[in-house]
Order: sequence, then C-alpha cells, then structure tokens
Amino acid sequence: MTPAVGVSGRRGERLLALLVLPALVFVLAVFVVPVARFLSLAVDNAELGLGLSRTVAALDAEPPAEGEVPGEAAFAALVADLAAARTAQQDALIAQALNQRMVGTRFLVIKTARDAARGEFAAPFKPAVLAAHPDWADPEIWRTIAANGGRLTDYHLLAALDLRRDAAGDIAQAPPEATLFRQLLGRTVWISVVVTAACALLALPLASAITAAPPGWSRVLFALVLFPLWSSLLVRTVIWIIVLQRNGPVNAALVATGLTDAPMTLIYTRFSLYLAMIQVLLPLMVLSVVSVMRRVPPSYMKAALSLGAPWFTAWRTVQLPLILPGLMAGSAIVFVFAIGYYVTPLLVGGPGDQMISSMIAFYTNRTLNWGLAAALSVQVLALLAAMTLTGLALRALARRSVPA
Amino acid sequence: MSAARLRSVAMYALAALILCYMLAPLLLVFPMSLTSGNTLQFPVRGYSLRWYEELIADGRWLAALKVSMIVGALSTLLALTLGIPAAIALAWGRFPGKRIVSAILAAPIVTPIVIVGVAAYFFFSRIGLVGDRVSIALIHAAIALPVVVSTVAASLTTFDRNLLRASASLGAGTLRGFFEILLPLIAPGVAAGAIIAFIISFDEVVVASFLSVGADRTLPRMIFSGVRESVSPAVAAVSVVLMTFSALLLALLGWLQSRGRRRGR
Amino acid sequence: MMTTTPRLAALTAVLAALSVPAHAAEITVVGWGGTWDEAYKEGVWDVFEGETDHTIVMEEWAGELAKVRAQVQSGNITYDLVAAEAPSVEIGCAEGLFVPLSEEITGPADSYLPGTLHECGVASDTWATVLAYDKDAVGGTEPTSWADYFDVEAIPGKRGVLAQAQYTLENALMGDGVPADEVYEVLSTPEGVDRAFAKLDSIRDHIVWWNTTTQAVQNLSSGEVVMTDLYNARVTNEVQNEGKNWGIAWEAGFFYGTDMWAVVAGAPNEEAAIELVKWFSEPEHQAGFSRLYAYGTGRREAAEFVSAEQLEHLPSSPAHAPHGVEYDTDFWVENKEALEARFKAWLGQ
Repeated sequence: MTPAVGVSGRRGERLLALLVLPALVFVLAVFVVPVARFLSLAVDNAELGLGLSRTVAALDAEPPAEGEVPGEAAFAALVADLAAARTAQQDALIAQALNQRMVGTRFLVIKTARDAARGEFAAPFKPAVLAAHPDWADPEIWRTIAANGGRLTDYHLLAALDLRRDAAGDIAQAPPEATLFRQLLGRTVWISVVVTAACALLALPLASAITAAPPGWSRVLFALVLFPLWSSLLVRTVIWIIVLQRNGPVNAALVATGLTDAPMTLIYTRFSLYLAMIQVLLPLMVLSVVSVMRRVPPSYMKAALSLGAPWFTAWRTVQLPLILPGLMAGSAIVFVFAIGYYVTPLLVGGPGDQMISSMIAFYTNRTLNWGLAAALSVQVLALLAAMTLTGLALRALARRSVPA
Repeated sequence: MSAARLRSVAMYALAALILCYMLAPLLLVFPMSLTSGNTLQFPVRGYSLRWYEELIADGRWLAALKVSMIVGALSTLLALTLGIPAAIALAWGRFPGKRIVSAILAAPIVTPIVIVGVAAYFFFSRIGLVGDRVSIALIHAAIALPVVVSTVAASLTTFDRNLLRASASLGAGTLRGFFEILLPLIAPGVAAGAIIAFIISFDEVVVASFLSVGADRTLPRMIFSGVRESVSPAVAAVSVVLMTFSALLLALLGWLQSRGRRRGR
Repeated sequence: MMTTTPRLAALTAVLAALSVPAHAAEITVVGWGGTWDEAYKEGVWDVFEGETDHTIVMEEWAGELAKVRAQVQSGNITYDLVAAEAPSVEIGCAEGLFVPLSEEITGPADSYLPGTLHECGVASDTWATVLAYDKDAVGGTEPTSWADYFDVEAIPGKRGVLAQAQYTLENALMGDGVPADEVYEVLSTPEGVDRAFAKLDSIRDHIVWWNTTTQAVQNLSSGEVVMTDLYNARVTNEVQNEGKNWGIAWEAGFFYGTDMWAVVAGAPNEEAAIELVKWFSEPEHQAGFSRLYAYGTGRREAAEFVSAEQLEHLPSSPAHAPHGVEYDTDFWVENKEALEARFKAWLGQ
C-alpha cells in the first residue's frame, strides 16, 4: 500500500503518486460519473427520440402535408412504439416529455399505450386508433413528434433560458408570461452579489479588530467569529426563523422599544434571507481577509497618517490595495457558495425569494423533469466556471501588468 | 481623545456589534428552548426541561441520532482511509497532472450541494441504493475528502522525511514506518481532519434529504422535514443539542491544534 | 392530553415493532404528515394493529408520485401503501405503479360516493379547500364570497394564500365572479388563466403566502391574516380543540378533492397492504378517521358510524354539498407543470 513513503528520489516521488489513486477512483465513481451522467440528461432525448423512434422514422419517410394527419404507416409505427414502451414501463416518460412540449397530450399517450399493449388495435391502425382516441386527429401532435426526434435535444437547455423552437424550428423567445428562468438566474446572481458585498463590508471592521487586538483577545475574537461556521447550517437557518417570527425576540424588542406598534413580518422575506445568508457566510470572508491583513505591517498606515493624509485617503491608498487580494478571494468563495444556496432560501425566504437550486430540487422531486433539472444545473455550473476563468484571467493580467 | 483612539474605539464597537449579530441569535435559542409552553415565544413565560424530555421520550429523534452517528462514522472512516494516502501523494509526490488531480478531489465541495444531491439520487436510484445509509455515507465521504486531504497535507509539510529514511535504513518495513513513525507524528492533523469530516457529515442535510427515507433518516433530515411544517420548541431543543455538540468538537479541535503546535516547536 | 396520548401510542408502537412475530408484516404506510397522520393513527391504524398481527410504520410525503416511480423502476421499493391525490392515482394506475383492487377487496362499487373509488384506489378522505376567517378579526363583516376575500377595502387585513397555482387559481376565478362549476371551462383558455393571475395581482401586496397547512393555521392564529384558504378539517380542528372563533364561508363556494390509498405494485408487503385496504374498506373502519378529522369517507354507510354533529362539518353534509365542485384532476395532470412555472414567474415579478 505504501511502498514509496520511505523511498527517496525521482522514482520514489513518481511511485508516491499511486497513493492518490484510491481517492481519485472513489471521487470519480461516486461523484464525477454520477454528476456527469445527470448533467447529460440535459441533452438526452431518450423518451421521444428512442421511445418513438419508429413513429419519427415513419413521419420522416412520409411527411404529412401541412395541417394533415399522417397515413397508416405512422399510426402502425405509433402503436408498435407505444406497445413496446408500455411493456418496458417507459410510456409514462414519453407521455410526460410530449406533454411538456405540447400541453394536453399526457393522458392521450398513456391511454393509447395501455390499449396498444393490450393488443386492442388491429390493422388498419389509423381508423382503429382514431376511433378509440380521436385526439390523434390533431396534426399538431404529429408535428411535435416529428420535430422532436433524434437521440439528442436542445429543448431543455433552451427552456432553461426561456427559449424554445417555433414551428419552423427557429429559436424563439418564450411568451413573456412564461419567462421564469432568466428572472430566476438574475435573482440568484443578484442575491449572491448583495450577500457578497455585505460580507465584504462587514468583514473589514471584524478583521481589523482581530488583527489589531492583543494576541489573547485576538484569538478569542477569531474563535467567536469562526464558531458559527462549525455549527450546522441548518441549525443556524432554523434559528433565524425562531428569532424573527412574530412572537420572537426581535419583534418583542421592536414593540417594547416603541419602534413599531404591532409585530412586523420579518421572516419569509428577502430581508430575512439576507440576514441569514450573510450570517452564515460572513466567517468565510473574515477568514480570508484576516489572513492578508496580518501580513500588512501597521507601520504603513501610521506612516501615511503621520504624513498628514486624512484617514480614509490613507486607508484607501495604502491599506486597501494590500488587502484587496484577500477581499477578492473571500468574495469569490462567498459568491460561489451563495449561488448554490438551497436550504436557507427555502426555509427563511418567501416564495419570491427562491434561487436556482430550489428550482432544480423542484423539478427533481415534484415533477421528475430530469431534463430541465439537469439543464438548470448546467447553467449554474457554467456560470461558476465562467467566473473562475474570469478570475484566473484577471489574475494573470494583473501579474503581467506589474512591471518586472 | 485623540483621533486615532476614537477610530480604534469605533472599530471595536463596530466589530462587537457585528459579532452580536452573528452570535446573539444562537444564544437566544438556549433560553427559548427551555420553555414550558407549547410554542416558541419571547420573552419566555415559564422554564422547564420539558422539550428535552420530549426528545428522549420520542423514539424517532434517538433513532435519527443513531443513523447520523453511523453515517458520520462511516464517512469519516472512508474519508480518512482514502484521504491520508492521497495527502501523502499530493504533499510529497511529484507527478504529471497533480493540479488536475487536486482539482478533481476538490470538486465535490465547490459544486452546489443540490446538484450533488440530485446526481447522487439519480445514480443510486438506478442501482437500487436509495434510502440506504451507505449511499449517504459515500457521498458525505466524497464531500469531506478534500478537507481531510488538505489538513493532513498541511501536517505533512512540517514532517521530517529523514525520520522515515532512518527507520528504513534500520530495517523497519514500510508499513511499520507508516504506522509507528509517520502516523503518530501527523496524528493532530489526522484528528483534525477526522473531526471536520464528521461534522460535515453530521450537519449535512441536502444530500441526506434526497437519499434518506424511512428508517434511514438522519437527524438534520428529521429537523428539515419538521421545520417546513412548523418550528416547535422540540426543534429549538434539538438545535441547542447540535450546537453544543459542535462546540465541543470544535473545542477538541482547538485543543488538538494547540498541542500539535507545541509539539511542532 | 393531546400531546401525551400520541406519544404513548408512539412508544408502544416502537416497543411492538421490536417484538414482531415472524409471520406478521410491517406495513409502511405513507401519509400526509402532521395532524392528518395523527388522526389516522388514532382512528384507524391503532385499531388495525389491535385486531391483527401486522404493524404499521408511518412515513410521510408530499404526494410525489415520482418517488414511487423511482422505487418501482429501481426495484428497491420501500413504500407499501401510499395516500395520493386522485390525479396521481390515475396516472400511477395507468402506468402500472399501483395494484388494481377488485370489488372483493373494496366492497361494492355502488356503495361508494362518486369519485371516491378508483380501479387502483380507495378514498382515504375527501377534503375541501374553504374560505376560513377569524370572526374576531374581520370587524363584524363576515366574508360570504370569494369576492369578499379579494376585496381588501370592504374587509381590511392580509389574506393567507397557498403559494402554488393548483387550488389557488380556482379561488382567484371564483373571486372574479366565475361560478364554481364554470371555473375549469374558463381556466382552460389562455384568457381565463390571465384573468386568474390578474385577480391575484389585484391583492398582491395584501397576501401572506403559505406552503404548509401549519403555516396557514399559524398565520390566522397570530392575527397576521384575517382570512385564508385552508383545508376544512384544519379549521374545524382549531375550533373544536383550541377554542378558536373561526368561521368557514361554505356558501362562497368550494372545491373538494379525494385522496386515495393505493398499494404500490411489487411492494415488499403487497399482500399485507391489500389486506389492510380490505379491512379499511369496511364502513366502520373508514369512519374511524372522519370521527376525528372532518373529512369525508368513501362509502356511504360509513356515515352511520359518525356522530350527527361531526357529519355537519364534512364537505359532503347536505348543507354544504350544493356549494361544492370537484377538483378537475385531469386538468391539473396536464397543465400543472406549465401553470406552476408561470405561477413562480409571477411570484418573482
């Protein structure tokens, strides 16, 4: 297991690499592969592309005229597809996928599949199917099936951006009343930005106090700031519900001091969401600001002040540039964590304060719309990746601009 | 008062105020959980241990605690077994693709937790493992792994590798060298990693809520589903218990680290 | 009393579970949680456990059919019997997720009230979403219609509203003057949907959203809202057990729905679960729940085992029934995903 621990030299250092293999294989197996498989559902079209492959092929071979119902071949293929799907317990998924693209087709598919599997249709299939389920006479269904063939689809990725393909196959905007996801993305980013900015502002006095205090006090302060980091996120979130509720301490204090006459609605609002998220994430920011502040000698500020600079000017021109890397690193961490928040918005936010993660969970738990859940996940990860790349590029640029 | 003194007072006052915002809610829950009433109220009308007794009397909380303990122990063990060798490789080894390997190991902790949970749910439901505590422990181990690797790697950088060479030259086998020389010296780092890994698993709710059903419900999962219905004094009591538990573990961690530092000198 | 009895019962259940005889089954029954589960336990499951060797393990869910589907497809089934909304039973049955139940198990079909028996399900309860209000808070003008609910000038104060499209859009249309029995006709058109959202828009700033029934009850108790949409038995419960001075505007019109017990196909205790359904189908046993919780039963004869006073609180009572219309389950099966997305978009605007 550990052949190279005591071995020195280049060969030993190469051999040491083997020790990382178990961990690497483990993370690949329980994390990377599952996540990749899940994300691939964003473009997976198994339900319609595979499930209705014969029907799609028949429609391709003999496209019905505009506004016309296709002929016998397509109906025969449909019956064969649905009977097979029913046997494989895939009919419900086909029905759901088709209903997403054309509302009102779910029961039609499930019931037709049931009848097809029971062998209730005999050739010629077209009149048999139409007699039992007249809704198949709607040419729009057939157009939708024909337009959604193939193994891959961009349907979910487009839907996650409030886009869809129109009858001609061109990308078009979703109707304004159905534009959910851009708004959701904007809200998620906005909440994260506000939280990050607030954390940065609040971390400055805390970090300054920790660095300036005598060593003993400094350690106590630091421990107090870090304590919330180690108590459970869930517990801290729940505690905000308890503290901000109508009969809670904050309302009691507000009424007792005469600031308000009656208890206010504090919980389940954007305000309570900010309070809880900032409290949860602030320690991370303090951590990274303190680590750079400790490296800045206090004499710099003293020198600037003794030269007669006003305090803020001295701070802005001397202190700030030196701690900026810590602030940036802290902001990046806080922002990345904030973007993925789920439990806190769910528990202390209102229905209008939910973030992307809530929606991913909604489509997974409630409607089992894996495709859309995966597409939204791709969106979040793409956003985070873009941020990381921008950060790296900015750093490289900053390094280059420093005169050698 | 001089301007400098005034600024310093203002800074400490501001820091105290912010600290108050961070900690006061946590402290307020202690008295509130001791209510003798049926609902959480402030100011508290009458004090009793009623809700703590309720926690013990209601078998579900204890059952969930047991599941959490088992899952936490399993995932910690797994994270250590995989993490210590990985840390050695990353701290001492030199090989191509080291940065990529580090990035892959770190991925579970920077990926939004809902995506981790949903992907795990999708994956485990395909292989029939959903609802099994092992499935939760596996994912928790993956999330804790990078933390274990980085704490252990940190303690490895101060370790003098000549000690291992000396033991090898004296004829001690590699395994013996690992268990008798390396492990005792990096023990504080390993212990710190273990504690953090356990806390991560013990507090984790999102993955647990996707993966756990019925008998395999973890404690945070219990709180989570209960809270969405209503926040009862029992939930406040559990919160206090959990916070105290984390504080104890954190104190233990601090003690270990200060010991490690002293030894390092 | 209220808190100790279920607790003792829970303890005995745990003890009983530890000493299960080998031939008896542990049936996992999945209900809606909270007070609903408590009433079912006290009125039905405890009786069943007393009469048979089987034990009941209670689980709760929010009706996510997807969970059943995932369990059946992976072959790792943990649920035996689930309480599901009628549309879910309809879909699940068509998909083969639930076991078809013969009349031998359910009793004669014609002994059931309309809509309470399905090929794959027996009604667990028939519930109604009603307009509930605090008589002390409305200042003497008690609401008698959903139009009053949407009129914050006539009766000032905040309104509790369920934070989802399903069940809420119906109320909005009634508030806009659509008679209950024409609601789905209107809602099936794009203009009708716009109309429902416009109505909600009109009181947007006066809404306190709720997600769980407990939240809705708390909002009305604390005075945060003066009226709310709520499930009728929760209102009756609070009046009967907590002495609240609350009223229900039955005459405003209401929608009712039926939840059903369905046996998961291939469940580990499928046979015992069917046995449980058969036992439950006896009118006397069905009545066990309605006696404690003001929701209706499936079989007509069950009414004989419920007190006359309690019967008056049920949605099916002669005084209330004329104002009630059944939820259109088919409509929601097909439109839910699209309308909920639009609802969420509207919430965030």
